[in-house]
Amino acid sequence: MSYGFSAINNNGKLLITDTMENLHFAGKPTLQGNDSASENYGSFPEYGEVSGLATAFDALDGRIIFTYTFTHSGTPIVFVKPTDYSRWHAVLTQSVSGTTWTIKVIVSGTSTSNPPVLYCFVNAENSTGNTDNYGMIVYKANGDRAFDSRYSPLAVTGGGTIAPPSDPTNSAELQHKQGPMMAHLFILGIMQH
Amino acid sequence: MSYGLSIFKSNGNVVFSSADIAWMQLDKFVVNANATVSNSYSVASGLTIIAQIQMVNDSPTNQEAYAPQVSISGTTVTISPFSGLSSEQVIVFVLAQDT
Repeated sequence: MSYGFSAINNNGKLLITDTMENLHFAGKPTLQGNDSASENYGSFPEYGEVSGLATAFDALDGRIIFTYTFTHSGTPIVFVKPTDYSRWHAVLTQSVSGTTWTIKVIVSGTSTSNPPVLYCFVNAENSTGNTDNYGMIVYKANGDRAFDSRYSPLAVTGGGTIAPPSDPTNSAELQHKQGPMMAHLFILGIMQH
Repeated sequence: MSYGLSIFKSNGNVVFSSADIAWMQLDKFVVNANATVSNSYSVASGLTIIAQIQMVNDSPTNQEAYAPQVSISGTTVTISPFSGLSSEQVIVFVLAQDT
């Protein structure tokens, strides 16, 4: 490079640059409620009526959808930290009205007592409100912040490969947990200092 | 540490260092239902690019709803409906990592 800034990590890989944006911690969404009063899909009657499919696919153990809100002018990337690691989790939808994001997370089972904790990350330019004058900011050529140490940049400490479950309707059998379990491992590898 | 980079918060805690690994955010955009969007990111040449898609709307209760497919070729990311299927509106996050 002939100008700008880049930082390389101990393995020689790019860590900070003025041409791309790091992700920064923006906050934890607020749990608003769940849909436990509605159908939890403890069975799958359409499959249960079909010979040969009942055993394989009619073994649902329910699902709960938790709804969270998060106010931010940026577009957050949402990470899920399960409270109950025996259940699969997935972000179902993410929508916005004004600057209020609504995030729905689907969790297997019927328990409403262990909602997951969500972590939101955004780019530095959309991170505002911190007036600390200590740390380091890297700017892009257009003047946007690419990195701002005041907002807890996302650091990845590990990862894994996620395989989709063969039967996404059923979390009761071990092989069907492969995907979500790996997802949990991936999420555990995310570190916010 | 005897070499490398450490960035500290005002309270003295390390907030970032050259012992870390980072995913960069290249882009974020919305792809409407049944639409195809293709974007290129030459700045990420040589890096590993991934795209995360996030559904926006609740799925209908009386029919299937499909997320679009994501294809990455070099530094070009394309979001499009699967062949013969419709697709729902999604938010796309494009990330890059030096691997």
